[in-house]
Amino acid sequence: MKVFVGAENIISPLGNTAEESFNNVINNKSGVKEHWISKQKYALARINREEYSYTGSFWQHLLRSSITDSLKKVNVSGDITYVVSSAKGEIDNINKSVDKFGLSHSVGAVLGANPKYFCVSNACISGLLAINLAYDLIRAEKANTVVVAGIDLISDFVIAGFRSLYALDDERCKPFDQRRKGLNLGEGVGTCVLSSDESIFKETPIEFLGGFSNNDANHISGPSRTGEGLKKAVNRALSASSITPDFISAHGTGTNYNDGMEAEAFYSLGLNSIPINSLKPNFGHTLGAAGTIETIISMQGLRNNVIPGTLGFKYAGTEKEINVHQDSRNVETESFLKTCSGFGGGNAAGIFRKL
Amino acid sequence: MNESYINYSLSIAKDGLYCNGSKEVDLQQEGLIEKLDSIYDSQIKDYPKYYRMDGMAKLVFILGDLICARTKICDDIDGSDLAFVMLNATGSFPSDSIHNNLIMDGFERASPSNFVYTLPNVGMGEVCIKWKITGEGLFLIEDEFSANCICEIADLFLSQGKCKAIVIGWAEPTENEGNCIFLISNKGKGINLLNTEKNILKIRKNE
Repeated sequence: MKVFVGAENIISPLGNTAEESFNNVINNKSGVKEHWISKQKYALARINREEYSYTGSFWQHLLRSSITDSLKKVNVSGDITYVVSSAKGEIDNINKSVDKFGLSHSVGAVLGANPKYFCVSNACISGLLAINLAYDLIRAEKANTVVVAGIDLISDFVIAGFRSLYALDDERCKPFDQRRKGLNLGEGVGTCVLSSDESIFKETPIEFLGGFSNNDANHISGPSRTGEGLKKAVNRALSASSITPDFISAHGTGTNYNDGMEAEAFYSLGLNSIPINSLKPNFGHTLGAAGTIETIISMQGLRNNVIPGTLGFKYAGTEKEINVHQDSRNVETESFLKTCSGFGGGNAAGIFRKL
Repeated sequence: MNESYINYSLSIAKDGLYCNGSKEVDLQQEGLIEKLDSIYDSQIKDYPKYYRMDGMAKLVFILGDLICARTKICDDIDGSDLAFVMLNATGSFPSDSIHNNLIMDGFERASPSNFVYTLPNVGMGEVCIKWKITGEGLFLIEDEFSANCICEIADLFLSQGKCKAIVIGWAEPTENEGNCIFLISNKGKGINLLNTEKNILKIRKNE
């Protein structure tokens, strides 16, 4: 059974549609800007909330808007299952008196009581795990149509936390570059629809060839130096799909250890000559949304025959040399590999192919 | 649904630790953490990092460690063939609260060692490290305990060939009873998964 993915939407500092965010990416635009909080400089990719009219929760507004836009791009009769991924959900509610706290309640407030939904909260790999889960649900015929949405917002909670880990770059992050000093936090939502029925998509979808996850079993807050888990997940995705991807959308946070680990893993798998990018300089690290937003930008890349570049990349800075390039390239592309790695030792990989 | 079996179950009730339905450790402590510490001291003892974990990670670690130790599943199958999935309702709420209270007085008050535990899947990482589990991993948030979701995910991972066996459980650090974990596979002895929803609820309540 083939599984198709399409009807994508992104709401990010770079736009309110997938197309708008993609065009900004290939035109070297970044949502990362300087912000001052308590006399300290931060580089954050924030959405300007004043540009949106909403009442109540901005998190719920974004999730609802993104899903609504995606659903306009499909003709679905019958039940829809939802998979929503988020690392921190509506964490700001911790300071408010809300009836019930928790990601599932926030998602339920947006979707209502009727639809079946799953909530994935597995740190930075949540978004790709959500897409993988949707694939499995469809293949097992437990769902016909699955809407996957990854969402996270920047909060004092996450800024203070990543600051305490010395993981933030106070300028735009520089993934895989010698000058990299850390990550930038970002925010947004990325939504796509998966189905075994190609005909529901108003625009030709992309085929999702499947995804896998593997744990490093090495350290809870740092990657395995040798990228064991990432190598396993990528290997399984490559074997299952039997293709060599035209490009790789890596995790590429801009932290020393993460990028070094990824380079090691891709090099040892013999993928070092394939173009590899990180979209973190454009969107920042959107945590539980990263897997969906970056997959969607890459899907747009397939649709438009563009391999997005790594904004600002200048000096190759990983021990193992991989093929990172600064500018987006116009080349015929058929397929890509998306990967994510995160706290708790998790790694995920998935392969996507143009029809 | 395929033929799947609950090979082993474990639950932490108000009065004790139950393994396959039988009380194995008497627990008269009031709070969950006291119960967990007591289980660690009497049953595990060999992972000093346990004492540095937050409540949620301790809970996931105790459940995950005990089921691996009792079943010896990691001797039977490769670590990459074992899936590990946990669910709860409040994610990492206890550590979220601590982090949130600390930063009220300034970002510089944040504790990196506490912040790491503001992700619910981190405790699973500890179990993976100790038992060299490198297979599929997933943390799901539900409104409330869902036997249905546990069955569905177990069946999904097994039927889709994502694993040869799955350790799956419920770890809610804000509740001091009803936390439980299961080893489910297509092989071996145990409770047939066909009636699992009912069985999982029974196991959870130690009926």
